[in-house]
Amino acid sequence: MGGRRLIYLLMILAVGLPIVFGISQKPSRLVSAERMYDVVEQVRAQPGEVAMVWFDFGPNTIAENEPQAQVLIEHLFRRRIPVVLLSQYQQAERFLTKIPNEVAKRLESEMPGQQWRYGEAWVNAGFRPGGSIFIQSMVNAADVSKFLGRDVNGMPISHYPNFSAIGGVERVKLVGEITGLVGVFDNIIQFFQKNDYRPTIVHGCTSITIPEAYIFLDSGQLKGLLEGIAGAAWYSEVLKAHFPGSENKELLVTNTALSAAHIVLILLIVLGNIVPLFERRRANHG
Amino acid sequence: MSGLEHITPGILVVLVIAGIILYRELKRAQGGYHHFIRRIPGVDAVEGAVGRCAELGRPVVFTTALTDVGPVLYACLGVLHAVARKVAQYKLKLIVPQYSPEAMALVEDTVREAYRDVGRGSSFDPDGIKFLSSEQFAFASGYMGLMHREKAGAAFMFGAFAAEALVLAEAGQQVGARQVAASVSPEQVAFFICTCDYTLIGEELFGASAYLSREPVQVATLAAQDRLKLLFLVLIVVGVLFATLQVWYPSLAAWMPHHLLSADWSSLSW
Amino acid sequence: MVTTHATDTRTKLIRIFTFLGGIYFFLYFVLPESAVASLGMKAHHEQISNGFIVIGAMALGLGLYNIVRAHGARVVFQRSGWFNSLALLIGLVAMIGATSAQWIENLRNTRDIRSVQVLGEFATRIVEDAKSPPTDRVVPPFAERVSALVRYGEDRVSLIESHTNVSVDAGTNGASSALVGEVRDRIATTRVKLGELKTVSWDQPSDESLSRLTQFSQDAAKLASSYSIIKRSHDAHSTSQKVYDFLFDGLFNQLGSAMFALLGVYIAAAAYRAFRVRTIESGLMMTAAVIVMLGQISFGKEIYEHMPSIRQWLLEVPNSAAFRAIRLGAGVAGLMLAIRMWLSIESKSFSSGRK
Repeated sequence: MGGRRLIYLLMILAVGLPIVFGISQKPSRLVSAERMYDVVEQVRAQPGEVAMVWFDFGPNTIAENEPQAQVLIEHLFRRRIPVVLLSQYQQAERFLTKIPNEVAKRLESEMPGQQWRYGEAWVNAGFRPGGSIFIQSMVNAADVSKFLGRDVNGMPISHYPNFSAIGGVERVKLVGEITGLVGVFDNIIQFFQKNDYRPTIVHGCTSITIPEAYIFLDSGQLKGLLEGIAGAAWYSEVLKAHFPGSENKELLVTNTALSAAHIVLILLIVLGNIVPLFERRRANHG
Repeated sequence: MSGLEHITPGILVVLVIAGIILYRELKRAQGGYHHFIRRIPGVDAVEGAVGRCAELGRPVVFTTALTDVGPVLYACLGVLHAVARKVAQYKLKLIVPQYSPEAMALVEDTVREAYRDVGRGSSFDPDGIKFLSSEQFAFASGYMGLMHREKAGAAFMFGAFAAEALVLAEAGQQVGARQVAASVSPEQVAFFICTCDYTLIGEELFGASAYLSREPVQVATLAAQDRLKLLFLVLIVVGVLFATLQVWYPSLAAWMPHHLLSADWSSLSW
Repeated sequence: MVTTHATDTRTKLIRIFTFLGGIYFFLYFVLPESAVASLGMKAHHEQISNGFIVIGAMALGLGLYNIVRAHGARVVFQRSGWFNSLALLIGLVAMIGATSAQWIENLRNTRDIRSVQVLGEFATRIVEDAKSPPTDRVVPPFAERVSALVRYGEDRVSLIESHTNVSVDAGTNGASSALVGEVRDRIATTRVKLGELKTVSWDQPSDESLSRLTQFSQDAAKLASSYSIIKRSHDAHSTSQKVYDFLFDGLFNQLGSAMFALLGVYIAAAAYRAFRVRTIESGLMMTAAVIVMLGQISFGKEIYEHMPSIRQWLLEVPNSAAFRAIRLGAGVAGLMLAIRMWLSIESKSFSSGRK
């Protein structure tokens, strides 16, 4: 029991000290995050064309998914690609409002004179129940903005200038799925497609679903992947390299804390294997 | 880039074959045919855990975690029935914390039936089937509290698990319970292997349920799955061979399995 | 006997509806696009899908009823742990109340914003109807419509002004002074345009009059846009929003995150206790795990510069192979289970099975 408490204390210190003292290290280079950056950078949205980003995470996985959502939205905002935000998960509702507002405020303070307004830079279509049925229906709709109907405020989406005439799903140039839930990403991969069209899909996942996400990256169904906080951290570094005003200190601190926790875990695994050896030897000699 | 919105003839053929296989195995199972199912090592662990509880006089906890009403739940109920029978025989206490209110009725029926089967219908306590919460971590915290209060001697975790898997398993570890887990979610298997005494991986859950209950539908489904997997294995091997030979014989491309499977209806006009 | 008959009928009905529900999506997927279109399925797919989604959403009501029934009974009869049930019910009522209040306020504000947006749209409609008079309906005379537009516009501008002043008096409540200034400028511009519209004779539409109306509709749209932002920023500091923020951000988010954070310390305890290298296979697994972890963290490349690349290879090659196999097996199982559910082939009593 005492041993367990010591382990808990070690973990808390490993995670807490970098956060308290603001220690940050350059993150590890992750090729999948770089690929995702290139994919988003290459998106060419004509007037009326949009990106669609799904926030399918709740308070449980905000530590990993929220930074991913922020860096993706920041990149899309910088590129002035209109974004439709929505979710298949009711607990994500808060983040659909909070994250784009925070990013817009940050960009506006970085670049005074430029604006990112709700209704121009993004719309929030809110929580949409139905999962795969909803996605299949949307894919078949003649006009996505009319299909989505009203935004979370009750305003018809087609009344916003940049979203008034989206048209069919072929005009959704990028689909982003940020989630830690099992099965939700499968709905996008399986159903967000037509016989003659498959969108560019990028994904932000939690560490536990990285192995599963890699099979889609390998097959080409997924074009870019953010692997947990580490992926978001490297993505933010790439973003900073292209846009020096981009701020990512907090994310790097979080990533450093995570790295410290990993080191502690590895040490515990090594200790867990060595200590019983010594104990056995002592018992044999005794 | 093309997608797959409507099925192709090739995939329809595979679907029809799957249906035929399932139908055939069902008929055989219902007709009394004895499908061989190898003894799943986890079954011994189930029996051993209940026996340990009998020695220690501690209750048994069985949870289906985040499993909603559906085929996975029915598979879990097969194991629950077998566990409940043993618990009733040894006159132990059985606690079944629940996540899904809809599943509760099925769980209660299954446990009551099991008690009746061994002639201990009057000992069945419906208060043992406890609805905790439909919220993932609220359920996990309720389960933790339950484990510590009841000092369970054995914990069975069968079904669909997400991130709370480690929390549940660690709670059992902390009270020294013998733990057997079976998860249909591959991500959680690693956590169970670290914290549980025995882990059934993936479809072994269906195997254990079919083995213990010998219920014809479950046995038939298992057999049909195995046969369909064999078919896919053959397709993969053939595909790999064709892809390799295609290097020297490019004309083989049209006969590659994935081309045959993905050719759409318009290509049927030969 | 009557009960058995009723149960049999109910079971049959459930099976029929399950089959019908499944057959629609099966046919939609199986039939070629041309067949789907000619059968009319494509045209009505959205309505049918919405119907299924609504049925699924009814489960929310069912869940609510179950919770209130189960926990309400516990509180009323004071069974063991009744105070936990009371806490749950209080939380439920508080959250429903806060969300409903916030939703009602949101709808009210949306109605106000919409009423301002309509101003610009009305002006645009007047111009369109003047350029190509509609044949399917009767429209009032041009002068009457412009007069109605001016009256409505003055009313809406007064509304916006009063709401903007409320925001300023309340310390802008999040709306920046630049935004308030912008709204006031646009109010002033709109008033000027309305004044101009009043002074001109509108008996017959002319190029100049239509151009003025078009300009007015653009100005009105800008005003509506600024007004919606100031209204939403005022919303963000309303009482109902604050209560909702406290309950969701302050309680629910933090509790959920705290429970999830337990996983971090639990995995550490499990790592020390259970990760033993006893065989070659477990040694291989441990090596792979350590490489993947080191490849992902900041310090990994300090230990060995190619660690991230080895990690990448491990994930792309052996891991993908293994996970594809798992997914294939899971997919096959899912297919069989789906067929069973669709055809209502479900397990009967476990007591009738043989051991």
